[in-house]
Amino acid sequence: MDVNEIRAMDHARKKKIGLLMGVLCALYWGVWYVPGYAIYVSPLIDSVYGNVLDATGNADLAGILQAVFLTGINAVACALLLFIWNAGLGKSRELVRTLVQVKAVTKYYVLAGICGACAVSGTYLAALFLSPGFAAIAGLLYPIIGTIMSVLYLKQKVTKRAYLAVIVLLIGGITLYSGSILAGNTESSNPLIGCIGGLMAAVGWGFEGVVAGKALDLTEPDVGLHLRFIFEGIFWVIVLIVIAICGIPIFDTIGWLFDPTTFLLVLLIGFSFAWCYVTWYKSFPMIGVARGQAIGSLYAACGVIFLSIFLGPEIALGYNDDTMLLIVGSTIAGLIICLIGSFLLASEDAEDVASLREVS
Amino acid sequence: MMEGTPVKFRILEFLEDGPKRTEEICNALAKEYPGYDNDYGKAKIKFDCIELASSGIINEGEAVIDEQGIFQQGKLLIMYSLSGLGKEYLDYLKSTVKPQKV
Repeated sequence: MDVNEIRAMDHARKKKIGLLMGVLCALYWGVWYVPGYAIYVSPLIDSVYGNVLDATGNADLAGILQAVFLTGINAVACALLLFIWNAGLGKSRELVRTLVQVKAVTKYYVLAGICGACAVSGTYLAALFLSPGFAAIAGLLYPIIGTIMSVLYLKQKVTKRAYLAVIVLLIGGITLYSGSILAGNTESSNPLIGCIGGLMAAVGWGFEGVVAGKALDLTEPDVGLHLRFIFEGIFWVIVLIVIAICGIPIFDTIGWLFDPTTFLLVLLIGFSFAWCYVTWYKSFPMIGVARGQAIGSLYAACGVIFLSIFLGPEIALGYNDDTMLLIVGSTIAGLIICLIGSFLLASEDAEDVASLREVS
Repeated sequence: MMEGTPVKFRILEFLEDGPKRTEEICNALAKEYPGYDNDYGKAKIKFDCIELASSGIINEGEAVIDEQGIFQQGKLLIMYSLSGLGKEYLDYLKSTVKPQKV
């Protein structure tokens, strides 16, 4: 083999690694829905709603604070587990070296942490106040913002084929959940909060990808991702302490963390979410923010598959005898469209992705 | 100026005075960073170069196959240089980076 052949193989391998990271991100994100769903019925999270409702008498506020509490637990679990991950990779010192460079790069991870906090809490609010299907569709819109911003702000190249793949993947994801929306599974006490939550998810994740993409130009993905979770964790701890100081019994259920089943659930949400983000961030320098986010949006398909496996299709998709045909039909159609979108990205010429920007 | 800062910062500074090949970058930086002077540490630095090239911050130039096993036998040894964006980033880092004790 000559030099050019090996170089072409290296470029193809780089693209393959980037796509694989995006697919793994979608898988871990999909897996996360299972413990993420189960933890809602654990006393650690479930009783928060009752406690806040008793203290304030406001059901909407109780729902919002329950989502905030769960998002905070999720972020802190991820931040702690990532210490083990980075120590295992021998990147603990790189973490400290990066952390102290506040003016150069760390400020971007603070921003990414806040955008991520906004997105994750938004998706919980959308799921709680409208429906999990609406939350998933709203979340799926984030690659639109990510793609536009990656071209305008990061100046990354996106080929026509990649644009087409992003659009097809989005249509696939939306089709996947459209059945449950059309079947009317969106009864809500306060749809406005649900819609705001959906908007927070799309805007938060879209901007997080772009801000993180900027910082990832100059830092390690494992380290950057860890910093992002440390800042999100600190943000939520401060928010929860302020809530507690205001006299709301937000920490009353924290003792349940020592219950083995609850602890296992927290570990599982931490591991699945942390690895989902590790792979998401690792895909950005390899294939760019637009492609990384688009392939990561396969999480919607993976979520449906894993929830169907662990909870059964009836609970996972939320159908009854009357709506089965509509919901199952739209889910299968959505999965097929997602596969076509993934094929479009996977079959893109590796040389188009060799450099994500015009080289000068 | 950027000794002891994140590895990618130092790669940009290391390339400031001209193009350098994979093994030059990896061997020199592996000696600077504690825990990097082994195959795994050098592979991490090489991967950082690949990410920087992928992002268009450094350019890939001439390459030769490492037939003698100077660095990684059978793999490419690539000449890297700063791109226009890389020079912009280096100027940005010089004005923002916090120097570290080495």
